[in-house]
Parts: sequence; C-alpha cells; structure tokens
Amino acid sequence: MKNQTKISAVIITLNEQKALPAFLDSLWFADEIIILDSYSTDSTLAIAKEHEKVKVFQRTFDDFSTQKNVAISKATHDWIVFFDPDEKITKQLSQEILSTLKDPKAIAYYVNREFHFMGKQIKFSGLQNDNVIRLFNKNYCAYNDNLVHEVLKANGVTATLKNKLPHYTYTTFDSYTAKMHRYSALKAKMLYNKGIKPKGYHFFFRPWYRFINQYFFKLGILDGKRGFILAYTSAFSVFKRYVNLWLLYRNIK
Amino acid sequence: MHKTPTLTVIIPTFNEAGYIEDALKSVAFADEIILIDSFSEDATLTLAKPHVSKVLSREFDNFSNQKNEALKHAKGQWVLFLDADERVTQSLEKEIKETIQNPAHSGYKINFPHFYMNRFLYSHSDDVLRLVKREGAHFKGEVHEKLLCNGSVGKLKNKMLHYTYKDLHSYITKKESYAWFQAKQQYAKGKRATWMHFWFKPLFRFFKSFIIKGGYKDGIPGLTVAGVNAYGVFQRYVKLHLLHKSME
Repeated sequence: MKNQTKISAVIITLNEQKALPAFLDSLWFADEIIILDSYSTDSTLAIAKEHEKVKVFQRTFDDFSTQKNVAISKATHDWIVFFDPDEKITKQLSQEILSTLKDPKAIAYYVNREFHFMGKQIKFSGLQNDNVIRLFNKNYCAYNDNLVHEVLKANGVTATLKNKLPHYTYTTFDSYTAKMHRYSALKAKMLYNKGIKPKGYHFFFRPWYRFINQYFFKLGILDGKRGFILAYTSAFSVFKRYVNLWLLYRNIK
Repeated sequence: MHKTPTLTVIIPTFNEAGYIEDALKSVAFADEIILIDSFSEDATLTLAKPHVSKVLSREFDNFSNQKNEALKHAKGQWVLFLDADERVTQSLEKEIKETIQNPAHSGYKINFPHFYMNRFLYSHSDDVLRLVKREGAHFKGEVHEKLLCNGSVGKLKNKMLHYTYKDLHSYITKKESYAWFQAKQQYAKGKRATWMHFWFKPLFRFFKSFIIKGGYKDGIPGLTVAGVNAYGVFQRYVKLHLLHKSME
C-alpha cells in the first residue's frame, strides 16, 4: 500500500490569540504545523507552543510575499496547506484534501472562499467569493513579490477543490478599516516603486468608479447596508491610496 | 492709573506630551495657567507642571463639562481657551494684551487657519470665540461645545497657529474614534441610521467642505480634508448602525 502523502501546514501570525486555538485544531490532518510569527505581543506564541505538531519561527514582517515564502521554506514536506487564521477549514474540506493527496492530479489546488462581513455572508458586491490556492506542492509554487494581495504563482497544472472555505475577516469595524488603511498605504508604496505619479483622475474618478462598480455593477445593492458600507469603505481606500502616493512624492507623512 | 486686567489660560489635555510644552511657552505671559487633564497616560503632566499654576484631573465626559469645571477655578478677569496643539504667536500675544487693557467687547473670536500637509489651508479657517471676560462665560452643548459670554463679541486680527496634523493615518484614525463618540451620543438620543443618512450626509459634507468652504482652492490637501470629513460622517452612521445591532 502506498504511504499517505505527508502534509506541512504553514501559517503566518501576528497577534492571533483569539482565532488560533480553534484554527490549530482544524489543522488536525497536517503532519506538522509551521508558524512564522512577526513578534506577536499577545499569547499567540504560548498557544502555538502547547500544540505538539507546531514548530515556531519568528521574523520581522516586511511584506506578505516575503513572509509567506520564508514560512514555506521552513516546511519539511513537499505538500503545503496555507490557510489564514480567519478562514474556517471545514471537516469536509480537510477530508477532501486528504483524499485528493492520495493521487494528486495537479501541483496546486484552488479553494472557493465565501466572504462574511458584519455577521452575515456577502452574496454580491464582487466580494462574495474568490478562488485562492490553499493546497500546493512547494517545489512548483512561490509567492510573487507584490507587497499586498500577494499571489501564489503555480508552475504547472492547477485544479479546484469542491468544498467551500468560509472567510471571517470581520471582528470589529475599526479593525476592518485599519486593515484597509494598511493595504492602501502598501499599495501606494507599490505604485511609488513603479514610478507611477498621482493624476487628477486618480482622485476624482477612481474612488467614485470603485463605489459605482461595486455597489451597482456588481450588485452590492442586494447586500443591503452591508453592501453600501463595503462599497464606501473600499472607495475611500482607493482615494486614500492616491493621497498616500501624493504624500510619498512630496516626502510628507 | 490703569491696572492691567488679569488673564487666565485654560488648556484641556489628554496625552499631549508631544505638544504641551510649546503650547505652554506660547502663553507664558498669562497671569494664571490652568490645565484640565483627563488622566493622561503619557508624560503630559510631568512636562506641564513647571509651567502651570494649577492642574485639575477630571474624568472626561464631554468638552463642555470639562472646560466649565476649569472655569470655576479661574481667577483672571479674562480667560483664554487654548488646545495643546495651538500656539499663540507674539503678535497675537501683543493684541490680546492690548485688547483686554481697553476692551470694546466682552468676548473675542480668533481665526484658526489649519496647518495641514505642510501648508496652511485658508479655505478651512474658522473664527472661534476663545477670549472672554470670565464673569458670565460658560460652555454649552455636549458634542460641539459652544462658548457663551455676557455681552457683545468682537474679533482679533491676528491668527492662532493650529497644528492638528501629524500624519494622514493618525488624522483618519482620530476621525474614526471621534465617530464612535458621536454615534454613542446619537444612540443615547434614540436615533437610528437610515438610508438617508448613509447616502446624503457624507455626500453633503463632501460638497460643503470642498465647494462651499472653498476646499478646492487648497488642491489635494483641500480635497483630502473634504474626503476624510465625509468619511468621518459615514463612519458615524456605520457605528450608530452597529450600536443598534450590538456589534462593534
């Protein structure tokens, strides 16, 4: 009989004490769990170290791609599962992962994510689902060097798993917007590094367009007040991105 | 011979270590300086103590009560209210001294041009009543506190320096935490966040700030003020909505 393929679960963490215990339990199917922590100040490390399968490393955070690639490099096995602590790995999904790995036909597998916001699943707004690679063979895959919205590049055949992945980003509104602010600052830096200069239409067209696109074209209107709040917040984030870019060129904070 | 009327400066503080010393130095000419602090957790009080006549510590409930409490302790015939991020320039100091020596009114407004992203935003300057005769002066209103005085109100010619801006991020997060404060006030009054609020209030604030007040003349910083102001209004109604749903 063929041995079951070994799996390394990889996580990057920063102050995840709340989500971590249940999340680690949901990784029961992995043979080892690699945690790369960017110096959490809460009890993340203590929780992690209690778990028998966990190996903890620490590294100062620079950007998501680098951090994730370093985390992958610590893994012992070829097959990696790389979830975020705010994603819920259902029993069905983990069983599908195990059965898939008995005879893998691809080198990377997408999972379809469902987006939850303010206590409810978002069905429209263009945010209702996205496909992300969460299971892959590390010899064929690496994160690209985008500072935000890092994408795993897979060199080879990919497939999609059947089971969905609920994604609970929302804890408080302040932490949601804080995350948007971090993203818009990082995106501004990305544009700055590419030498892109802020123009009038960036300020006067892009934010409005983002709102209209998300709320009307992508039917955010059907998500009720949540749809409006999401569209406004993301339009503001676009606006803030270009203000940040404008500030970068003038060396003002 | 005329005896110079006395002046008390009242400064409300909470965690102003980076700003307070310069503010105090700019009003060193006052006869009395009273700090009303809402239990700062940084070095504000240590830094302030050598420069002030009196420190009052009081749990913050709203700006009106906070400043009215300080007023009770003031001894000067005139009172000037100053925030830690504001500076009295030498010419304003001279004008204040001359004015209270020979007052035509019992209160004076001062103009505040905003220093923002390394420039002054003249489109967003406000005239605010800050210098008053102590007798009969008091604050009213919970959110937007208003200073009232007995008698007519004039305006000083010189401007107050006002450093609200540290960086874009803290400017925005300040609005976000202020939105909680406003949402809680409205929640207490039984108000609900309606679609009207979501759609029109932020939009109206944007146009008021950018068009009516002339923010467009200040370029990108003017646009940013308008955008962030509107976002602050939006945040207020989101948070009111959340309060009704018992969410954070």
